Amino acid sequence: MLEIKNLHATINGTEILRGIDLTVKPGEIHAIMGPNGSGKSTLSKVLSGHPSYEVTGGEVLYFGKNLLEMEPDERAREGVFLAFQYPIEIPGVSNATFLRAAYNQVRKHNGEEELDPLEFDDLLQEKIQIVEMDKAFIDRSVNEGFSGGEKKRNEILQMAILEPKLAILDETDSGLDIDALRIVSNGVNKLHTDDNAFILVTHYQRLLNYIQPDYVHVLVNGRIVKSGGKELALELEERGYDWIRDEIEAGGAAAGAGA
Amino acid sequence: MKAELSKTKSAFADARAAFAETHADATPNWLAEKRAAGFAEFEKAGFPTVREEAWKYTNVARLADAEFSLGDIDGVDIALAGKSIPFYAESEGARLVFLNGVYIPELSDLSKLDGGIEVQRLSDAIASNGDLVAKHLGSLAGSEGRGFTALNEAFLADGAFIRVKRGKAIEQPVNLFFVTGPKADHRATFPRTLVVAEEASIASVVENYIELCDETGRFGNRTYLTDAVAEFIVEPGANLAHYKVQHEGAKAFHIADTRVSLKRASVFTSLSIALGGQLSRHEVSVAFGDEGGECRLSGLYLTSDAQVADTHVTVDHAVPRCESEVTFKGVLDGKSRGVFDGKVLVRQDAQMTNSVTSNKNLLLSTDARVDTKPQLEIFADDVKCGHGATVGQLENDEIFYLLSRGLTPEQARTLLTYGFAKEIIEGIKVASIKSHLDDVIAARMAKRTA
Repeated sequence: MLEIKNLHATINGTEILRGIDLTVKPGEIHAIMGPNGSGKSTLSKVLSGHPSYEVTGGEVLYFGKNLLEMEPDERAREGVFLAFQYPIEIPGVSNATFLRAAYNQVRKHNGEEELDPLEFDDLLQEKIQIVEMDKAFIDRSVNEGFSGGEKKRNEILQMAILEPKLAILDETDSGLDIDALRIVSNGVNKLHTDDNAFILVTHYQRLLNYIQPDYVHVLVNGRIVKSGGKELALELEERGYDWIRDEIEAGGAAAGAGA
Repeated sequence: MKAELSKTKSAFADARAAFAETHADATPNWLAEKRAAGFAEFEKAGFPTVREEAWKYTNVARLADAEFSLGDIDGVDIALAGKSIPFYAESEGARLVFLNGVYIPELSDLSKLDGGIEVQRLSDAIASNGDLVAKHLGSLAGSEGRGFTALNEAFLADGAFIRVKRGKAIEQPVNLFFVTGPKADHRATFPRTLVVAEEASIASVVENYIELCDETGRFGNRTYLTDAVAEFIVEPGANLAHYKVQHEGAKAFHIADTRVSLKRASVFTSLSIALGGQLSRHEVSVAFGDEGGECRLSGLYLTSDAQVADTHVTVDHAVPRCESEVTFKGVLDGKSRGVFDGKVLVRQDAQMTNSVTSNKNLLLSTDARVDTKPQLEIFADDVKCGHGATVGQLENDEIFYLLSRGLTPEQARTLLTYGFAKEIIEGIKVASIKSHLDDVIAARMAKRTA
């Protein structure tokens, strides 16, 4: 469903992504790991169409269509979802209003009938159980005054309602306590089907104790430098990222020497 | 400039002569004197200029340059006009309707009143309730040095009189419709409202200032002036809720002077919505006359294109133990401008005063502008007072967050704008006003992205 080819992107003129290649098929879970500043969050934001990032090269195909040409809201309606690392607070807009507006846009896009507030409330009551959230959150302003864990659970609730085909979770696990980590992970596992795919962007291996990835990729300096199965994550947990850096530098030096 | 100013004065002099002639007979002396004094004061004071501090950001030169004659309803299809008054049909409770400044009995409805309240057109009240009206009319709204208030006084003929009787609680709001409709180009109206809430009474009053669409369904192609004055006398222990909805046409001039006097342990709550007019100005002045009074003034101005919306609030704490809360928000688009001037005066005797003023503005375009000036003058030493103002734009991160969930850019902006204004909108307890405002916000946002 997703083919990223030699993707380059900059922010404020600084190149962050320097040639990413990645293919994701329906039903797969990919983990993208890497040290701070490697470009993990940039990749998430570029895929969701954040206007601060400029794509300077390469292409991204989503079900064969050029994803980079789509507006951010179009991507969302086509089934791309980004769970934000830092979910935004929207004062004065209730969670219910926001979720229904989003849900109905997706329905409309798929040629389905929109739900009225009562019908939507039924759906909401059902989905909210997935993230074990208090019903009071539905009527509160979006993320306003939520704790870090509550915000992340709210992201998963949105995902549960929108049922994306491709969900990108940007460091959703950072800062969570053990309960929240379990709830968020359970949410992802419940929503995972053979038809959708997940990209988990994370710094730490611990999330992968709860969600089993099919592939683990290591991102360093804007490139995927190593890919493997879930055992790669364990190796990273044990050895850190430095050995990979060393490997690249050795390889780079060798390549430089060979040039 | 000088020459044009005097030209305008002479235009009103013609109107004044015509007015004096039609109102020569039935007028009590005190009213005739008041009008004469008002006109003399207007001739003396003239229109304000930007050299005056209170009008520094609001230039009325275009108003002063325009010529106006008095509104009338000659040749106007009343029934048709009645059908097109927005949220008129939904309004519950008693209503008084004025079209182009003329009272329209067939659109007004006083049948729902019980004995707890008197609602009359002002000219009737002058005849039947003369002493009470004479006592209060103009008692708060002095016209000295105030050209527009003086002009209203000079043309004072009709409007609304409301008396809420001692100890009575009136559930339905009283709706006043000051409507400008067909045949109103270059006309002026001078609505006048007097509300007396007697001891321990409870009531609410809605002032609506509205332009009707023309025969082709278009709004805002008439240049006209609404120069309104309203006085609210809130007697001990009374609780009066006030709404003002200003949805004049896009070319209209709307000047309103609202004065409030609060007696012991009385409460005045006011919510003012400014949507229309090429230039609108709303002055609200509240004076606490005795201890334990409470006033909450709030409002929302929503402007676009080249509109100017000016809000001036003055709260005078002259006595101890009163509370005031002033909360105004502005949403400004296009090349529009907002002005907010909120002054709270805490005099030396006004110990234990609680007062907070806030003015927040959302600029939707880079050409929009707001001048905001919350002021506190405190001469007492045991008080709790605060004030603040902000001017901001929609946050890109907020917009992106909503887009990333599939909302359209228009939806995202509307939702965020609505979220910004929600604090004020939530205070509206009259359903018809709330839904009208929802519609206006949605329509503005739709037009914006169209």
